[in-house]
Amino acid sequence: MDKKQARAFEGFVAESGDMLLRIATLLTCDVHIAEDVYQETLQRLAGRWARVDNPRAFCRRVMHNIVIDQQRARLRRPPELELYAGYDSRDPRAGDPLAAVELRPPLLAALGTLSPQQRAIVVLRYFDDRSEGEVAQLLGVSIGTVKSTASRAVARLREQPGLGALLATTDSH
Amino acid sequence: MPATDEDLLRDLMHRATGDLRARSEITTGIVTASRRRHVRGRALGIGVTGAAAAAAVGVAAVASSASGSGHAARPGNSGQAIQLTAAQRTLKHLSARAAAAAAPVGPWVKMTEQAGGQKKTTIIDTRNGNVWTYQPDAGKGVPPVLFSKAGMPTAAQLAAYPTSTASLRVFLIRQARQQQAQAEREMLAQAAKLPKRLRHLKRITMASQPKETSNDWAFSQTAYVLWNPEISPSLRAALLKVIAATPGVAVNSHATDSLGRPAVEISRYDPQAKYTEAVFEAPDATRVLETDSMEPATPARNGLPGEKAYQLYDTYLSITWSATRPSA
Repeated sequence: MDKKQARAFEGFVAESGDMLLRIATLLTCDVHIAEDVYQETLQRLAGRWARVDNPRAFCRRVMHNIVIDQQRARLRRPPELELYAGYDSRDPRAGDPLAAVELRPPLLAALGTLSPQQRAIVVLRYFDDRSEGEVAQLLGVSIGTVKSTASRAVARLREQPGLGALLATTDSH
Repeated sequence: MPATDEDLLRDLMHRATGDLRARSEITTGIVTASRRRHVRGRALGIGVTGAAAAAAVGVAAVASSASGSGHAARPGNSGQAIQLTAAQRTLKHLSARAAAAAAPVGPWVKMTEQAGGQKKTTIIDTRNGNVWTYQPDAGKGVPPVLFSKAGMPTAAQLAAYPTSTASLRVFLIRQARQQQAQAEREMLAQAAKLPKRLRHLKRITMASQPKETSNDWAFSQTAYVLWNPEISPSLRAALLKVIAATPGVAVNSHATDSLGRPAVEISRYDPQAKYTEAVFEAPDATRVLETDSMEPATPARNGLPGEKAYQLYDTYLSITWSATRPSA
């Protein structure tokens, strides 16, 4: 990587880094592991920077690959977390960092009950706002699979005590 | 407005992660590390440090890795590669042909090349290794003329290279390791400037460097030196013998370069760095027509599509020698 490329790379990370880290967090269900995945992803991106047409899409795919590999390698179970019981949608802290810290454990715990594939589909579809077609292409599955997996995954999340409560309380406003 | 589960989930995911910020120091560490390979890229000089050599000849790498241009697939080059003994026979034959070629008369060399869609002219004074690189269409931020004092090996330095296959091989491996060590020292010096809590990055980036074997070094270094337009027929002959003595080299004597010129393709897959390096030698064994770096397509796995193969190439258009300084 020469100076010019390094600048472009840094520009891309400045623009997309936060979002990539957030996606990594949702995919791994752990903030610390997410940071490792994020770093590894950027490292692979840096190695191929000149050849990558769409860095964002490249990162999405690489992150998913790493998560799958980790899952295979260690069959790591997400840490057991106490599920958050209730959530008040009128909470003035909503949207601020404290709220994020409180919301995160139940959300990540619930996402942790999904398979990596389901998680990837939920995160790419609803968090990263990719179309069904894009998600299908990225993960190499059919659009029908994306649709059915997404709806099954959302139903499953709804069943999670912590998250179900959050979704239900937010629903009632 | 009744919110769907999907909307609620979207909102929740955004709020639950909205405070997460990527640390910019991670980027700094990665950029520092990935510049290392670039530093080693075309380091040829033995009398100069890796950095100086790279600053001088690295311009080739700059242009060759310019974005996008490496993706073009090259048609009609799928000839079968001959393995091992047949490959060795071809290389020995090439070596003999190289040795019989007339020595060029200098001291000036002018080379034109095309890399990443950009034309470039290099003028070398082989007496002192001074290099001028002209790249008029390199784009913003790149000076149209780059001068580097002693950026290339001098004719005297090249004449001092060992000529027997075994000692040249040892010499090249040592040279590659020295350049690598120099590049690593520079990288470590940069990493030492990182804040303390990010020092682990250093360990990670060092550990992620491929562990090349002697054979890997022998081939890659020989390929680097072979590319140098200053190489004399006898050194070229010796280099080809070093390649013949390196396991894992494939030779396709009916190849063509990206301009369709007939060439002998000499390639080797580096299992550590996971890419194939190829040199397209002119059939008369007088010069290199093109150097390629190829990474194979990654097969689909885990139900995910693989990544497409890519190829970077530097195509050398002409090499001319002259007694007086040629014009660019």
